[in-house]
Order: sequence, then C-alpha cells, then structure tokens
Amino acid sequence: MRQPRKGIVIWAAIALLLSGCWNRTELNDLGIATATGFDREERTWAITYQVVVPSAMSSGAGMTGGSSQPAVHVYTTKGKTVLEANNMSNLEYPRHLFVAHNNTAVISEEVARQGISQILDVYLRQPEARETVQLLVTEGRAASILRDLLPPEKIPGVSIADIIRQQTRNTSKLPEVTVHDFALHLSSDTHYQVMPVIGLSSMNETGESDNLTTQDIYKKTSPSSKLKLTKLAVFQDDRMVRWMTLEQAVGVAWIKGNLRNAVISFPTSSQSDDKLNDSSARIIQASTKLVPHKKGSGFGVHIQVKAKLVLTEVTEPIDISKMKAIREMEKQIANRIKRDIEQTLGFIQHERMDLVGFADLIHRKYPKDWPRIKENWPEEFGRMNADVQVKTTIVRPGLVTKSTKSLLQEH
Amino acid sequence: MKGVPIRVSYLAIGLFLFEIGSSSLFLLGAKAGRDAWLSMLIGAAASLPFFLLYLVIHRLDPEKDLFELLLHYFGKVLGTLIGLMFMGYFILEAARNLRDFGDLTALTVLNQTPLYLIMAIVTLVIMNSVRYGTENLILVIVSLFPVILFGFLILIALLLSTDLVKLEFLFPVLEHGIKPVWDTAIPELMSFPFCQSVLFLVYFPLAQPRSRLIKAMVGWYIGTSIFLVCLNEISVLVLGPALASNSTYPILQVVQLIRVSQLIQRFDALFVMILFLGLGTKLCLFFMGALTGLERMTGKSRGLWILPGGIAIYTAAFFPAAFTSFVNLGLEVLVTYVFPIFQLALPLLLFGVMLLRRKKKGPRTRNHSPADST
Amino acid sequence: MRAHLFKRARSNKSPSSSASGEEKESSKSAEDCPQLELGSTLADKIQILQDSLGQSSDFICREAGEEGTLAVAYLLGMSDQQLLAVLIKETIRLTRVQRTRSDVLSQMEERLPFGTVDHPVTLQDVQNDILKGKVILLIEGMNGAVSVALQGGAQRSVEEPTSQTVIRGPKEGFTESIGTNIALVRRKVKSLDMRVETHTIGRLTKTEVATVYLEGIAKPEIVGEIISRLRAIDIDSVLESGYIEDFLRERGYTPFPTILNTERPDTVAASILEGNVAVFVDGTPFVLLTPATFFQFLYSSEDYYQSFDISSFLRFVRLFSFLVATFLPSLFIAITTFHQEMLPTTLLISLTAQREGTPLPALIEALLMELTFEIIREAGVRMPRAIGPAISIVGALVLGQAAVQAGLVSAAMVIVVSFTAISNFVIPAINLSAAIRLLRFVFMLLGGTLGLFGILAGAIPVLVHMIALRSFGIPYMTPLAPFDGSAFRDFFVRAPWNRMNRRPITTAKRNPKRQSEESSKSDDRPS
Repeated sequence: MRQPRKGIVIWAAIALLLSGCWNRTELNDLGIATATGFDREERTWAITYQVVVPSAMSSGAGMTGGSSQPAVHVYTTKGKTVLEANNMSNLEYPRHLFVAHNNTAVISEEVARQGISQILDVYLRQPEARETVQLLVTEGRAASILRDLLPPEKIPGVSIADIIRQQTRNTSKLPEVTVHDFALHLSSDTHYQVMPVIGLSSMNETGESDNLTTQDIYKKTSPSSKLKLTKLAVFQDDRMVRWMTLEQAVGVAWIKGNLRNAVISFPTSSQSDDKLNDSSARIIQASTKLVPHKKGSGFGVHIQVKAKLVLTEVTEPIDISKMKAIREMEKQIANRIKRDIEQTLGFIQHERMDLVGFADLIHRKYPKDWPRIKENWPEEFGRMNADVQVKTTIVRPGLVTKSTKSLLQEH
Repeated sequence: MKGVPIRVSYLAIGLFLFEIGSSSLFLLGAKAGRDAWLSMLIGAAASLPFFLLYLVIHRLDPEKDLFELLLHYFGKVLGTLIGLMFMGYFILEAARNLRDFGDLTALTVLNQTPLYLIMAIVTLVIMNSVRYGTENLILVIVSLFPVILFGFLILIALLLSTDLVKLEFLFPVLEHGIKPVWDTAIPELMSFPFCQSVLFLVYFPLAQPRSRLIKAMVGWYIGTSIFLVCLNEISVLVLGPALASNSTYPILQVVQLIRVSQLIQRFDALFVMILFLGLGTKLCLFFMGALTGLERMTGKSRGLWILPGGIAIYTAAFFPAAFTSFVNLGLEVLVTYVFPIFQLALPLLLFGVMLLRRKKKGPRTRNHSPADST
Repeated sequence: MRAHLFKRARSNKSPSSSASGEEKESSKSAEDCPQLELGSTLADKIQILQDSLGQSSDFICREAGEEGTLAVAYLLGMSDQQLLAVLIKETIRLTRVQRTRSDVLSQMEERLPFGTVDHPVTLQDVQNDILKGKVILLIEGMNGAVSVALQGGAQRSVEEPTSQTVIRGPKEGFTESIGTNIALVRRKVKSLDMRVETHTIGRLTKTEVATVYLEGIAKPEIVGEIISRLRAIDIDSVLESGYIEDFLRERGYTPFPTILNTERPDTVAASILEGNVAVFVDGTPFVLLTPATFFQFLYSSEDYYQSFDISSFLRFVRLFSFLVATFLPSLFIAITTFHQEMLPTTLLISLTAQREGTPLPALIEALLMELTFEIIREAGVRMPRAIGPAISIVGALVLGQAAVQAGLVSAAMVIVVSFTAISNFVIPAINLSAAIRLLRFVFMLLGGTLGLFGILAGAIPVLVHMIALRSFGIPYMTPLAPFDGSAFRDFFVRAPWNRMNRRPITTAKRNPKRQSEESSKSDDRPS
C-alpha cells in the first residue's frame, strides 16, 4: 500500500511541475492598463487602452527627466463586443493586457447615451477586472482623453483616479462613481444618478491650446490646456440623459450627507451685500438626516443638516470673541447651505430626476404604499414636499480672533 | 504512543469550521433577498431540534459512532446497507465540496489551469491529511482555526472601517410577507448547511469529557449559526440584495471592494486561501466520515480505503459537467429531495429503533432514555 | 576455541596488517569469551600485552623500578604524564614496603589520591582499560594487573561556545571531554536527584554516552525509552552526537529536527530541570536534549536571562523570521507571476520596470539566486577562517550588485533573497534552519507553478506532518496542537519568572511545581 501511494505522489508532482504554469505571467510580459476608454464606431466598440511603459518609469524619482519616452502608450482596438475588442489587442500589442490595475474608465458621450450596462457586465463578470474602477464621461471621444498627458504626473490614468479620490476626501462636491456604486444604484429604486465628466479645458486667453499628447508638454510650466473634472452627467438607468453643472449639483452632496472637508463661502453678515467680502469656513463634520413622512396621498421629506465648521477666512471687521458675531455667522452659513440645497432640490424636482435617493427612502419607510406609487414615481417625486433645516456650529475660530481687516481699522 | 484525546472544544471548533466551510462562499437564502438573514435564522432554528436529535442519539449510546450504531441497531445486513448509503452520502458531499473547491480556484486564482489538475492536487492534499487518523486531522483543523477566524474578523473590521456596509439595505423587513422567507429556509437552508452536521454523529464518540459535550456543542452550534448569519448578511449589506444574489461568490466581490489606502487592495486572492482552508476542512471531515464508515463496515483498516475513497470523490466531482448545472443539481435537486433522507429521515428512524430496543431491554438497562423514565 | 584465540593474539605481530574487517572480527569474538588469561610472569604479561596491541608504537609497556618487579603500560598521550610519574614512584615504594601483593593492591586503593584503582584479571579487561586511557601496572607475583584511571593528556579547555552565542548569560561551553561536560552541568544543578547513566556505544570507538536527567522530574517512561533506544544501537563508531541522533528519533522521514543539540551547559541544565533528558557523547561538545518540540527550536537560552518583555518580542521576531525564511521567496514569486493584482499599482509598475530586459523567468531567477546564496554560504563556512567571511561578503556584493547592473536579475529579487537569508540566520537552532532551507526550495517550485494555491497545497501537508510528528511521544507542535493553555507562559510570550511557577506538563508531569506557592504569591504582591 505504501509504495504505490508514494509513486502516485511523485508522478503527480512531476506532472504538476511539467504541466503547471498555465496562469503564469512574468512581470515583463504584462501590459499594465491604467485607463480604458469606451467609444462607439458605427456598430463596433472601439476600446482604447492606456498602458504603462515600464522602461520609461525606471528612472524612478525624477519626475520628467530621465527618459525621452512617455510613460504611457495608448492604442485603440475594435470589436463587436468589449471583450472581442480586448482580444483583438493581441494582434497589435506584444504583451498580455492586464486590466486589474485599471483605475479609470472613460466613456464617451455617445456610448453613455446608448447605455453602459454592457460595460458594467464586463467589469462585474471578469474576475481580473476591478469593480473599484472610476467611471467618467467625456464629451467627444474617450480615446482623445486617454491620449492626453497630465503634467506633472507621469501616468494620466492613475492621476485621474487620484484627482477624483483627492477631491472626494477634500471637497466631495463631485461623487466618486465606481462600477460598484453605479451597479448598486442600478439595482435600487432610484433610477437617476450622476457621473463626473472629464474634459479638456483651455486656460489660455488667446484660445490656442497645447498638444497634450506629446512628451514636450512636460517642458512647460503652465500648459494652455488641461484635463479637468468639469461637470456632471445625469444617467437615467444606464443611459445618460443630460448634463448638469457643478453648482446645480452641490445640494445633492448635502442631501446625501457626503460632504467632508469642503470649504463654504458665505456673506459675513446679513447687512453686507458686498459679494467680494465673503468669508469662508471649512466643514469638519457634517451629517444629514432624512425623515420621510406621509401627507395625505403625497409624501414629504424633512431634511435635517448638522454641520460643524472651522473659520478659515473672515473679511468683515467683526470681533469673533463675541458670541453674537459667531451666532450671526452660523446663521449666514446655515442660510447658504439651505439655499444650496433648495436650489438643487428645486432643479431636480422640476426635471423629475430623483438624484438623491428619495425613492429608496419612501420604499423603506412605506413598503405598503410603494407598489402603488412606483409606476409614476417621477411625478410623485416632483410633487414631494421637502423642508430643510440646517444647524451649524462654529467650533473654532482659527488661530486669530479678530479679522485682519479690523486690525487695520484700529490703527 | 496513542494519539492525544480529542477535547470537546476541538470538536466544537471542528463544527464551526465545518459549518462555515462552504457556506461562506455562497449567498444563502438568496431567494429571500434582503431578508436572507431572517431565512437563515429560521433555517438555523428549525435545524436545531435535529441537531439535538443527533446529540440525543449519541447520548443514548455514547460509545458508538454512526456506523456502529447502524450495525448494532439495524442488524448486520440492513445496517450495512444503510451504512453504505450514508457513506455514499458523505462521499457525495465531499465530492460537491471538491467541485466547489475546483470551481472557486478556476474562477478566481487559476483561471487558465485545467480543473482536473486543480482537483487532483486538492484530492492528493486531502488524502494526505486524512492519512494520519481522525485525531491528527482534528488537531490540524484546530490549529487552522485561528487563521480562518482571523481572516474573517479582519474582513469584518475592514468593512466596518470603510463605509461599505449600508445598514439601510436591511429595510424594509418582510416586504413580501413571511412566505418567501419561510420557503427559502425550509427545507433548503436546513439541509444546506445546517443539517449537514449529521456527519458529526461519526465524531461525537471521540470527544472527552462526554459530560460537557451536549452543552458545548449546542452552544457552538448557536454561535456558529449567528456567525454565519452575520457573514451572509454582510454580503447583502455591502452589495445590496440584487447584486448579492446575482453574484457567484458574493463574499469575494465584497473583498474586492475593500480598499484601504494603496496597500490593502484586491486581497481577494489571499482571502480565497482562507476560503480554501474552510472548504478543505469540510472536505476532510466528510472524507474521514466516509472512511470511518468503510472501516466499520468492512473491518479493514481505513488506510486501505484512502486511495479508493480519494478516487471515488475525484470522479464523483466531475459528474455535472458545467458549473451552472452543478449549482442547480447541488442546490435544488439534491438539497431538497435527496439529502433530507440522510439528515432527517434516517436519524429519526435510528432514534425510533434505538428507543424500541431500549424498551425491550428496559429492565436490564437502567433508565437511560426518557421513554423509560416515564 | 580459547586456545586458538590466545594463540592468534600472540602471533598477530605486524600492526599494519590489521585491516578493519579483521579487527572487527577479533574484537567481536573477544567479547564472546571474556576470560582470557593474562599470563603469570611479568615478562609474559608484557609480551602478551604488546602482541595483543599489535606492537603499536604509541603503546608504551616497559619495566620500572627494580628489575623484574614492576612494569607500566599505557597509551601515549592518553594519560596525565605528571600524575603517572607520581604513581610510579608511589608504586615502587609500596612494592618495597608491603610484603604481600594483595597488601600492595589494598594500599594502592586506599592511599592513592587520584583515579579509581581497578584490578582487571583477564586480558580482555586489561585491553579495555588500556584503550580507555588508563595506566596499567603489572606487578610481579600479582594475579592480573592494576589499572589506575589517569586519563588526561591534551584537551581543549572550557571556552566560549561558538555556535550558540549570547550577550547575557554564561560564557562557558562544552568541550570534547564527557567528564568535563557532565561536571559543567553538575556545577549548575547541585541536586542529589541528578542521575548520570553511562553506556558504551560503538564496537570500535567504544564511545562513552551518558544520559543525564533529574530523578523525580523527568518522566520515567521517556527515560526508559531513551535508554532502551540507546541500548539497541549497534554501530562500529560514534564520533559525534549526530550519529546517536538518528537512532534516537522516531521512525519515518521528517525534515524537521526532533532532538535539540546545544553546546551550552546552562541550556542543558535548564532543559533537564524541565524534565528533559540530556544525552552526552564523548568527543563532541554537542549535547542532545530530548524530547524537543518545534517551538523550542525557536527559543534561545538568553530568553530566560533578559527581561521578559524583550524576550517575548524577540520570540515573535524569530517566529516571523521563520515564516519569512520559509515563505518569502515563494510568496514573492507567486504574487509577481500569478497575482499581480494584489500589488499596489505603483509597486507593480516599479517591479515591472526592474524586470524589463531580464532574461529569466522569475522562478528560475529566484532558484538560481537562492542556489548562489547557498554556494556562497557554504564557501564561507568551509573556507579557512581568515579569508572566509571577507570573501563571502565580497562574493555576495559583487555577484548581487553586478548581476543587477548587468540586467541579469532584478534588484527586487536580490533584496528578497538576501532578506530571506538573513531571516534564516535568526533561527537559533542550526538544524531547524537547515530544514527550512530545503523546504524553501519546494515552496518556491510550488509557488512558481501554481501560485498561492500551490504554496497552500504545499504548506498544508507540511502542517499535517508537523502535527503528526512526535518526539518521544510528545506531539511536536505542543503547546499549539494539542492546545495547552497552561504552557503559554513560556511560549511566544515568556512570562516573568515569578509567574512561571510550573514546569511544562508534557515532559515533567510528575513534579510540576517550579516554585513554592508562597514564593510565586509573594512575588505577585506589588512592592
């Protein structure tokens, strides 16, 4: 009994060593995709990949110096389906396209308007692809966005994702939308959601723009055009329906309670109408409570916002050591927040776009009524009555008490 | 020198890992959607009497394991027949686990490696693990317990530290009434995973001291059930009921989402290893159960049966060719119609026969069974 | 039969012709008939002795004192020359003064201030005594001979141990002499319960092997088992304790050591105080300690001398190093060739950049690097001490640095391999680190062919094996599996001495208390 068993083990070990390695990919056979762009051309997908050129990165610490080669290589493949296009890249690119480190997916407006569920399916189904990929929409072609470099960073795909994460942490005005977030929304009762838009913004007064696709761009201190998050795209289910400006969207973040660390500007006192003399405060803690209620046949929501802030700029000559001044400012901030929320609510209710997830709220609170109103929810949403209460507290005045302006007046 | 005695706590840890072994992979009670946790609780509660039944059977005749009981109370012929059926059931469960193991590997970490090779390696490792006897196997399992528990606890801690868990997915509770929840729980959730603990009838007699067995096992059974409910619900709370029930391995999808700074991301490959350990535990315990059966029935040493047993499990794992049909066959046909025979019907029958035989011998054996004392 | 042998012993005159086979045979048959007469006259005795040792030139057998009264015989260099001179002088005096020969013998036994005095009668006994280094006195008219234990001669003195160094703790190490070694332990354990049992093993080398344990603490069944295993040994030579080790350990192959060895008397003392048995072998400073469990190979004697917090920390460091030394290269290969998604993006890119243009697959690269390291290490050990370390460092630097710069291997791989190597050196027991050096290669192959799955598929059988392993009936993984909570005071965490008031149950079952209740209690009191 002993001998044959040992024999089997040895044979199995040999077979294993000889035949193993199916999944093995050496690092230098990997083409690490950092960003993917989705475009439609007639009836085919045109998928653009931005892959890292490792040899251009080997200089290490130096930002732009060292190699004369851009750190990324961009190419486009075509196919009837997303994965067919992916597969076609084997015909032109010598490495195994590795998408697990793909941080950003840029979707062209055309694709977005036709629906992106196919893209979502690919990301959810493939074990290699990540569900934490940042989704972005762009006006025009996604391929051209991927070709642009983002000085001074070397790998634009990574940097775009970093910008989104950075802003989520520090201002949170734009939502961070990953494949997972998007799919989660799709499976909920809310049929509308937003996605950040990336675009090329010109910074030069003369209107001429630099070519961002060459290495030369690193030689300029201030390129005349730049990749930027510009606005928001509104999706109904998986189709994009319209654009939305950042101002219109500020209230959404408030209602969803996503705001962290954002800076709010506000008129220092009710007397001063001088727009130039706004003061500012930074949110250190904010929470939003949504309490749905039933009113006859319709529904309403109490929106209760609580925010704690730290003063960051004070322009009017007021004495902050006085409680009255603080109270006044707290009131101004609250008004400002309330105005933001109401403005946004008014806009989205007018457009019948439930971007704030009131549908889920009602469904959870009134599951009995939900089947009844489910069908014509957009109208119901438009009719909803929302009242906003904002409570703000200034917890710290910063390092000085009086405003610098008041120092000037005293002397 | 003889192997070390198995303490009650070892067996309890074995039960814990056995229960979470393969059930942590799937979303249990998926049909109940967001109320999966209620389904699970009902399933666990409904299975508790059966678990108690197993314990009482053991208590009535604490020296004998399942197969010895069968041989003793059903007679040689019938006992051997039922014993062989049980053995077949254990082999089948082991094969299902092996297939789960293979599919999990093929879908995640080694997607280009052929299934037959992965499963052959797993079978070899399992065969080696049971080679040293039950005591050693249970010691191995106990020593893996901290690793597995640590893995799951880290997962839960990370999920709580990132705000991925959304408690609002719990509501509304029982939107469509109790019926779908109930239907999911019984008999599906009873037979997988809770009543699979019938296997432990093989292991109960090994535990020392016997006096603490019932209390400890019931305690751990309840604890394990609660842990399973939590683990299961975490997938729902992170992915939402729709995505969770749509996902093949929801727990892995959850793990993929965790991202704490640059360093901790995509450690699903590592987590698959922890799932492997759980699956392997279950597989080994089933295999060992079948081997014990073969030993009792044939009177030959179990070492002799390791190779044929391994081959049987390996071959049986290939029966359903495609993954989908495998899941269907596993979760619907077998779980609903075949397994309850072994988990519910036969133990009840055994219990009845035991009581009858006790009654007959009533005067000689002093009141062991509740029937006698009345 | 007897006569034949006797003749043969006499006629065997050419020493060079005594081939080993013949020697073996003669010694074996000599054991069969122990009563070999030595002869009666002094000249006869000298003649017989010299013949039986084959006229070896290091065998001294010459007359002393008055003509025909006394002869002295010994092996050159095996006895203390100064004492020998005293002995001869004293014996001459005694033979003059005492009337009868038995008086001489009893006087010698009573008066001589050194060495045990024996009175071997048969040739066999005399030969054995000579081989042991005793001095044989042949006195005219006395039946048999007188042997005096004057073993001595050139010996290494007690020095600091070289293989197991500590910063704090005794600096003395064992020598090659078993008597000195046992005395070193005796000096530490001044207990009446310390038992020393000597066996002679090795048909040709006749090596002294001693088991040392504490009566009343060590488990009798373990002691009995060790002694019976020692008795069963039948081998021609025992030159080092390694010979014995293979006979003592359990049946079946295992790469893991199940017997500790040490050249530190304090380690031996601590070990027998916990109920273990020490096996001393003459001719080597390495003493075997049994039974030994896995985690003991990660402990150093210094753990018990330093404060408990730092020793506990160091034990964790050692365990971590053990894991690193076993798994790091294989994990590195597995992750970089199978699970690249686990790496942070920036790390992946920088690793990829390093690997640009390297010709070999990661697995082969790692295997070659590891092999190179093993060669350098072996060279460092074997080379003459003066040039050894210097050349090995230069070799490593040149090979490592140049190989990276030439683009043959990636820098990350060099880092991984050297970190692994350094971790390997942290493990106090050489035999354990040797075991994991072998395992490492197996894991690297598995990791390189099947990724993490392969490593797991390799690690589980190793774990199963380790748990099934026994050292004299003690499970190897004690106190982890089977779990023993009470042993945790001296596990990863070394508790302060006033808390460690019990001996390990597994080995010292009979007498588990280390401290009196009062002492441990009073130490608990806050001062």
